[in-house]
Amino acid sequence: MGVIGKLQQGLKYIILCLAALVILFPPYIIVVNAFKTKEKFFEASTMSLPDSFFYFDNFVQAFKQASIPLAFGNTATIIIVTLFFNILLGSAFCYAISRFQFRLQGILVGLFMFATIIPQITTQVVNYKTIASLGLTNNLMGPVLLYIGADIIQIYIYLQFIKNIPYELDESAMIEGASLVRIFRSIIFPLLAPATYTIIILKTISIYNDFFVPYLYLPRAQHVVVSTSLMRFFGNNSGDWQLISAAILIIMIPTAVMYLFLQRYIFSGVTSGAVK
Amino acid sequence: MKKSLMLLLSVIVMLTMLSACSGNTNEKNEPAGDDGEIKGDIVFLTNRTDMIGNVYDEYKKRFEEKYPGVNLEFEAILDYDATLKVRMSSGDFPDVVFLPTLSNAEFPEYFAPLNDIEFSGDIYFKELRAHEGQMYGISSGGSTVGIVYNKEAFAKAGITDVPKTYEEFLAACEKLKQSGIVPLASNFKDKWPLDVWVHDIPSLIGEASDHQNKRADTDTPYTMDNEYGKTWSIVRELYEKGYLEPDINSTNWEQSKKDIATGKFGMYLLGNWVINQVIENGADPDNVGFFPFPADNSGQAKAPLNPDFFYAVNKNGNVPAAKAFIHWMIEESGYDEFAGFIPTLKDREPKLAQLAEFNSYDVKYFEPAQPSDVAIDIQNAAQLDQAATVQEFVLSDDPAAVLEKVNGRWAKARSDLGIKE
Amino acid sequence: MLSKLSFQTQKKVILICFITIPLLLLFTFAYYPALELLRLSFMKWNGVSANKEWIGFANYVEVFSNPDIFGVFKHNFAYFVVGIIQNMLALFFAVILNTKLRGRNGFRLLLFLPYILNGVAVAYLFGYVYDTTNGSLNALLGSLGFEQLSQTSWLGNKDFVNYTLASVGLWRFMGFNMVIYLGALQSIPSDLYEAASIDGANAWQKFSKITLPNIYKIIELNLFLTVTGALEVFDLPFVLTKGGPAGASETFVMKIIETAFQFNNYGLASAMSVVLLLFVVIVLSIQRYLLSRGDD
Repeated sequence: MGVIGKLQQGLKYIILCLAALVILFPPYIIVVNAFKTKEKFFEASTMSLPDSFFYFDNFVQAFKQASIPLAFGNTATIIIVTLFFNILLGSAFCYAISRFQFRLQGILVGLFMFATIIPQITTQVVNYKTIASLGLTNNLMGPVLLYIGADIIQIYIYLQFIKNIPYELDESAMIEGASLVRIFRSIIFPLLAPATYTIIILKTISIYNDFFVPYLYLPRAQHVVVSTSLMRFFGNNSGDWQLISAAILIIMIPTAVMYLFLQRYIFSGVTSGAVK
Repeated sequence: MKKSLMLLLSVIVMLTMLSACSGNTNEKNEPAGDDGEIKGDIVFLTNRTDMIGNVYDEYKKRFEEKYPGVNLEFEAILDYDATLKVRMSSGDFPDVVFLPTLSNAEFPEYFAPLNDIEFSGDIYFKELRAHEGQMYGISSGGSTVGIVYNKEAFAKAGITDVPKTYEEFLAACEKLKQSGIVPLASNFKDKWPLDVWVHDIPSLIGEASDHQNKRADTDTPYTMDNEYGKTWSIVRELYEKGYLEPDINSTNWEQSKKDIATGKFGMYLLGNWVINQVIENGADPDNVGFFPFPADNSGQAKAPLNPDFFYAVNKNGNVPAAKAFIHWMIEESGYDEFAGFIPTLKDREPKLAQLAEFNSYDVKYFEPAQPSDVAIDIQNAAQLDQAATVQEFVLSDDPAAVLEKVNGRWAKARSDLGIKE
Repeated sequence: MLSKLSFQTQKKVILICFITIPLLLLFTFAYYPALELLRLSFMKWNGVSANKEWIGFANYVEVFSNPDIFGVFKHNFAYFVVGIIQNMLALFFAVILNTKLRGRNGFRLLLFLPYILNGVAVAYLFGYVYDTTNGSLNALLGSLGFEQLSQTSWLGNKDFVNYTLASVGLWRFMGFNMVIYLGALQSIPSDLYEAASIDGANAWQKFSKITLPNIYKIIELNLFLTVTGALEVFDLPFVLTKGGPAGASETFVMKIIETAFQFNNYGLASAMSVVLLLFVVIVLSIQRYLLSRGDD
């Protein structure tokens, strides 16, 4: 690496560290308050440091009060069922519309795009009625049904990848007598892995943090999910912020770990290897 | 190939089955029927998300002990009004709810009359949510509005007696300001704390609680010299003299409770429900005082008496058990004490010490008038958010022009609706 | 068994099977409500009652004749500007973090962190960041010696409150866009870059000649999401400013929600939604037209 290369590398680090500071500056308050005793939280400024970073009572209490194990269980159920169908349906859909020079591709993608524009907030009355008439309110499968549908991001990402998989791969498999479904299952789908993992990450986090759907469709205590468990700390015009801070940190852990774990698969270079 | 097709088929079958099965399990148990027997399932839709998993568990246990045939469930939501309306429009909503903001005339369409619940004594606010002699809502508790203050902060500023007139109030504010204390926490930015300036203080200034209804009779309900102009001029004066937070567009509700508790801020003008929250935020209960807001120089202590949310019963739900639950909540649950309310039963003394102090000032109470549908209809048609108008009035260079603009919208809405003088 | 069928037949079977369910879901949960919305926009309805009354175009007349309703669109402009910056930053960091770099996994996680953080937390912590008197941003500016700047009322100034709010959106969603870009970068075959290196192309040439054209569609997607998001934003001002000061940060969707649930006028709110929808379509068409002209 030459001097210029080293300079470039250094510049990159400087920019990244600046970005990291900007990113970490706001959440500071969550971290310090999660470790404060109730007394300290009231007496001292909200910005101040806690007495000790080894004070875990807030975490223990938040864990209990928010029914964290139950909430994780419910959220996991919703996410796993949703992802299974969402990935299956989404990837198959994109395979079908992109591989066969299908005339309607533009129109179909347009339909999904247009659906994104419809302001969600005003359609909720109708969707609530639909879910209620299916008997899926107070049922984990209600939110699943709302989440399962493919969204425009997923479709674009899959189409982007399928476009870059050479059609010769399909053709040679056809010559060997493989059916199209088999081609999809054993050639295309594995090659879509980076896309699939990207979608898993984005979809999981959006469901995990979604507040609106579970609190409208799952108001019962036994159906508490991670995002609605935080409501337990909100009273009338009041909130127990040292507990909320602790709870927020607890519920961030699984998604952060998942991201760290899955990003290895995104960047494992599956496509570049297979193209040859 | 076959396998994949099977998979696809099974997806469809599963989705259909999921909906079918759950449809069955979700069916409500037999309602108790007309014999009035108290049994079966009831669901209470509450706004108190914080009571789930603790206080409500205990309520459930105690209530089911008294009525062994009943299974009580709670559903907790935030943004209560909008969420309840979404659920009501689907036709399926819980047995016991709090009344949404609809006009009284619409209540019979959804709710059961509650006149036959027999309480041990007279209750407050019987007429407020009634239509054609039938009562559709029972207040879950009452509250009044006044100055909640930090006694140490007052002592530090050298204020020995609580102000009895508006002049004395301004003098007290000045003393607080001089000693480096923010006199009154308005929580201006959050908008809802300004409701007291829309509903309560005008009642005290005009000595009548039907001012909101009377707006229906005129094209100019907001003028500088009527109760609204006078009330809002008070906020404006407090703002201009620097008696509110340093930047009223950047107030922080959670922080303000801590600041009142520690004496960084001196006062709130809010309902008594806030007292418990200030105490929860670290204040010594003996250090929190409560006195009537002197809106004028008459020296007469005046205060509104306001209802909280109203319990209502879904007329298609389990009515007998729902009524028993409301009776139990009012008489036995102890919820009024937990929430810091004035009990709905008139002969019960409030448990909150500060309310005794408040009443020692010989307060003249104003009970609210039944809301008039006409005024609400005009307000909705004019798309008028009065708390936002207060904000505009205070921040504007020309407050009279703000009132003029609002009056213009009011008059237009009024003529659109065909309302005559 | 099916593999015995001709590929033409297989294609037809696959098309029908793979497309039916996604379309069914799309129509049930997006288009059916949208059509219902269109129907309700011609009604007088309070949002709850069983009684609806057909009133023709009266709601639309109200939308277009009331200057208060349309005026708020100018507040959305800030979100649009910041959204563009957000996309440029996202693409920039995606490219940087796609190169060989020690600790890049850590930085990838870090930049993505705000998106993982629960939305409730975001509103809460930015309330403290932008607070005028106790806020951490003004405290930081003060300690860096910017006395004047540290008195700024970030959420209380009519002129830039929308930019303040939009910057929260940038903080929160930049990582989200970055991950989409990062994912898309993986789809570009690496031999293209190898070939370019052999031809002696520099980093910028590789970026503009290989990267950009190859992820053009994804950039288009992100811009689409930015425009839609900018025109339909409501949660940030709803939580942080309640539309204040004096309505300076109120957005169109906030107005819709207010009309539907506070003023009990669901019919008018539906008409406003339909107008918003058309407005977004118009803006997107203009954007598309300009972009495609740029291509020629």
